[in-house]
Amino acid sequence: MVHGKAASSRKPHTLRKLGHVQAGFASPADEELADTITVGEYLIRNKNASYLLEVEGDSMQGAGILSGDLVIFERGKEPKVGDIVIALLEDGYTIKYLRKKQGKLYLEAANPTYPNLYPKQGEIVGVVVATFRSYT
Amino acid sequence: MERTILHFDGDSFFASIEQAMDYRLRGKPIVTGAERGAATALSIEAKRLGLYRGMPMKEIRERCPDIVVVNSNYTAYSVYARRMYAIVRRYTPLVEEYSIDECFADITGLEHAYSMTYEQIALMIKHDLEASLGITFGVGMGPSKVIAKIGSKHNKPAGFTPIARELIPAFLEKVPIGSVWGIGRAMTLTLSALGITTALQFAQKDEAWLREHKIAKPYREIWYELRGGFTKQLALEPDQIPGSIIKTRTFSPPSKDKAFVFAQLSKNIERACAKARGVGAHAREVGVMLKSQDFLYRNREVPLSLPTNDPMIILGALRKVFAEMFVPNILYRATGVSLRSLVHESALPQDLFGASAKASEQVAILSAVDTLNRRYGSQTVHLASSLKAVQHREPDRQKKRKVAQVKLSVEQRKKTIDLPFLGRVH
Repeated sequence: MVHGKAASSRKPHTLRKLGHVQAGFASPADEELADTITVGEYLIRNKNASYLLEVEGDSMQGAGILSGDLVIFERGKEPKVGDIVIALLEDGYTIKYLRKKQGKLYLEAANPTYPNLYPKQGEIVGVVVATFRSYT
Repeated sequence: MERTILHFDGDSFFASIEQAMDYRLRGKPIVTGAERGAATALSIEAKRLGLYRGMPMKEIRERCPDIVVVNSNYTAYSVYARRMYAIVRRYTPLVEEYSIDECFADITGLEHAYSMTYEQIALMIKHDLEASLGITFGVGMGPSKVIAKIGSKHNKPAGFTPIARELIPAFLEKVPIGSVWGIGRAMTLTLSALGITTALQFAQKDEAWLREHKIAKPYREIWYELRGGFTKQLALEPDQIPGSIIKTRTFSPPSKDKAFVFAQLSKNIERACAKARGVGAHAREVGVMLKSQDFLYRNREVPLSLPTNDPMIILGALRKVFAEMFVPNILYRATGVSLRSLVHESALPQDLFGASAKASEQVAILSAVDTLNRRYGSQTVHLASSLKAVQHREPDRQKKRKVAQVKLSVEQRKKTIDLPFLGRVH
């Protein structure tokens, strides 16, 4: 199965799985609505560098990130120790805390049943900036 | 001022996007265009296998049975293309969306704004594009679109090739005439029949030769740009150049103080000019509006002798008109200014643009003012003539501010954000 195929229809305000998510709402057209927020802009800082991934598994449950959640990560953002990052390892993407001990960087799950990762290969591709969940 | 044009060209754009969106395709030879039966794009790895664009899929599969062939995904490609244009536009509003995987940008004069060389600015934009999109770009820089495009082709993939005027001949010597942007197959044959096989040979011909051989205008333009001139304008998006720029502001309490009312007008002129500079627009006409306490409006239009977005020039042109319009002893409550008959700076005749040392000095000052006001808030730096208006504190300032914010959000156009979905994460 190939990930990342986009649907061809471009209906506004529809969430498309395995495609592009329209993560925004129309702007308030008049003054009365001026106190609303735009969800997309609230969640996303740099929209031209932001991407979506779907979480699978419970490795980050201690951080409140559950299986099935969608995360938005920003490419090219300098990761800081303590950030939740997306790393691309040999077997795919992983979401973990970036930690540092004795000058050495490693990845830590937010779940004590997962071991720390000290990957020899791979790269940190971005920093998680938001996560969201739908109950419908 | 000499132009500095950048050309950005996404390396193997469609194939690179497929690899960026599906990590399992990275480092592998892949081909897009399965639905067409012929390759629309090839990853670098596929190009190394000797495959080429337009090659029939049947032949590709026969030659490389293990190759990954995918359908074109134009929805994704256009999301990446729009991101590319938007990222480049963060640095300059003068961007031509030339094609789905290419754009031109005019960064002339931005050295002052960024306190960087043109090379550094180009590399900064290139780095932002590559970090944000996860694909590489070939970038060319030169005094014209034709030269910038030769640069972006030069050192693939992920190259950056600035071609300064004095280096042009050395580059053109190695460029076959048929590879020059805008010279098609028929023209290549015509020119080679005249003994021209390289871009340099064409550039070295003189005007008499062009006339003698009845070289048509589009090719004369290419010839001119190959010689280091600039004539092919950037085609900006229609909404990049507004029809007019209007700035009005109501002040309270109303005032009969002539200097204060003029300061209000001056402030509006500064704001309108800053907006015009932001989109590279110059006004050929300026309108003034004064509104009195009992809602009597007075309007005047003033033609400008040269298109401009310099507030000092416009103030100079309006001073006399304002004196005629202003009636003593009535209370005024608003002033407004409109910049009209806007022309894009790329459409200004060359001799008007930086014709004198003074004009280019003024451009540098204004771009420094724009940088400061962007960084530290509007009206951090302003003209002395606006001082009375800038210092004025309105009694109901809070309320005004909220209204201003509402306007801002209405002005923002598209609110939907397309995020590429990259799969699952563990």
